[in-house]
Amino acid sequence: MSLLKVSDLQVKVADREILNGVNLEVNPGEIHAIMGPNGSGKSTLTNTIAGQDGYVVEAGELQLNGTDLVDLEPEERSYAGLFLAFQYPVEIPGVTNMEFLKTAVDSHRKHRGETALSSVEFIKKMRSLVAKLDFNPEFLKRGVNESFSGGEKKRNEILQMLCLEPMVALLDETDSGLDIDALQVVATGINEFRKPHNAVVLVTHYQRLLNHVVPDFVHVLLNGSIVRSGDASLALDLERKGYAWLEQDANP
Amino acid sequence: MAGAGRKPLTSNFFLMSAQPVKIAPWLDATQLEQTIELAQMPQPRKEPWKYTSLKQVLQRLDSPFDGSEQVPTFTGNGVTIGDFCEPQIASLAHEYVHHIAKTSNNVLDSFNLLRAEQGYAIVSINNPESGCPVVNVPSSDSCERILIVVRERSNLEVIEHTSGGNRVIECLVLPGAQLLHRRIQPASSRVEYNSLAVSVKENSSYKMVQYSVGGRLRRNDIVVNIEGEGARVDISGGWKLTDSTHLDTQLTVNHRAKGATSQQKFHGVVGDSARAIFNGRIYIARNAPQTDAHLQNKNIATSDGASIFTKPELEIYADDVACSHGATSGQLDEQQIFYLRTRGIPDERSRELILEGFLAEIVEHEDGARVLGIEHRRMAES
Repeated sequence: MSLLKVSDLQVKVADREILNGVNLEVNPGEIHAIMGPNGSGKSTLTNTIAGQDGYVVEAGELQLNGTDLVDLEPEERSYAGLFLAFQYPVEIPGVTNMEFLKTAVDSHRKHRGETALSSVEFIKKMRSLVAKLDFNPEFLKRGVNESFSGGEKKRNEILQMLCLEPMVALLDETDSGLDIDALQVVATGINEFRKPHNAVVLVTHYQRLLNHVVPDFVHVLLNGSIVRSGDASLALDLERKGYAWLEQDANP
Repeated sequence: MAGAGRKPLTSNFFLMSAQPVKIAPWLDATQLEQTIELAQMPQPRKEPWKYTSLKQVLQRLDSPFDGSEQVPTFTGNGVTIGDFCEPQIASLAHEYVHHIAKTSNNVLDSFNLLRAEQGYAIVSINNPESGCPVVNVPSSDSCERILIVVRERSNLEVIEHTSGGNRVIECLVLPGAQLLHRRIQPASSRVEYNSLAVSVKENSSYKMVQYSVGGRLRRNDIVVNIEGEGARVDISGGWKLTDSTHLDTQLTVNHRAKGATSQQKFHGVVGDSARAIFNGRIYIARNAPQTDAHLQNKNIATSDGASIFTKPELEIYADDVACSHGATSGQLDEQQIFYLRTRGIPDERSRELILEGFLAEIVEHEDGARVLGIEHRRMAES
């Protein structure tokens, strides 16, 4: 069974149709990349899958590991195994990263009928993850994303992903705004996360992350639908030729 | 309405004529009453009393108090506490009681002197070696007057609890001294009026943190006068108001000496049909160049019935100063809530967490966390 199945998804935002029939099937162990120009509907797709208010599913299906997502609350989608790394991670002043992550992990555990982790267990778990991502442990004591640099915010998203161990991770332009070192760290995190039983969907503008994380499939989203799918070489073609040639294909 | 100031508003004040001031007999009650009569009475519709009923406060000052006087306690060495009339306190009391408060022109402070049942001074003795003594000022439903004097280069910490009475505090922070003043204001069903006047001398430091939940009517007037070069003033606080409670904080920092710094930072959460009023003012006199002064107030309303009135003010007559001021009120940020929910944190807990974090930004002590209901929260160092 596929982990993530998007069938003929049609979505309106503020009464405007943004997605008009997106199909996507992601199987365990796969990495998919979704590319497309600005305004093609990439973020609408990820926000809709994650369940943000205001993204209205007009038709189609969204399934995660066989569970229908459309009527689930965002936290229930998280329990079902979904994770969204935000394009613009949100700052939550006064709430420490540690407190935030522990609350998130404990909420998942509670949902599974497990007891909360002790602080000692949790700190131990976090320290090893933090070391893998080359994070200064001080980050755990700072407010969530508060005065983090662009790169730190994106690394923090990866840290959360590793911490929550979802089945499907959607990464919305996690590579944008990163310098080369940060890009490496993010790529290492994604490769670390990748297991035969889970899957990754990368939404990106650029080929450069794909040099470090090689996708099994590349899809091009244009004007609200996927107009072409291929292997990793499609990303290289896009880098060379842009999107215009596909636009002609899409509107013959 | 200039004439309003000449009519005593309440009966008991009238009847008191020619009685000596009970807690400070050296003060001439007749003169005090004349001061009151000649002074401009606050006017109900003017800005400082626009949102809080002056009438209710005056009625409170004019009505009998339970008189449950409480005695302050302290730990550590280097502090003396005594009644204004006790021999070792008397000369200080003569010199400062009424004089510090007078600078803030608050007529209600004179009412307090005429009515007060209890008056005492907390005086730090030079104590750099003995560490910082801690004085606990308990809450009392009475009318009381407190003088706090922090001697040159000494330290003092005061933890003040208020609940329902009328208390006027005058503070004098002498050169090189440090005063940390925590004010804890738990829930109260009474009308409460607190007034605080602080005089800060050169190279001294006054830090105040005020933690409040609502009362039926709770009003805090605070005036800090910076009267010495290089002084540091840091005033912060938080409030969490529910039901139909009312909290009004009027705070002025007057810079009257050069090269001093001041910070005002307040965060508030207002729910149900509660009302929060905050008026923060920075005044910088002509003789206060190289001042560094900042003021910030942020509020979050958690219900449609909540009211927030906040106004930052800045009045500058000196050159070469660095100042900022700002006030906001809004609702919880939906994007923050969504972010937390995508991590599996349920909607209600997400909202709580954001509000707790917002208040935690001003919390520096567990007593404060307790009053604001966030004591269970893991602190940053865990």
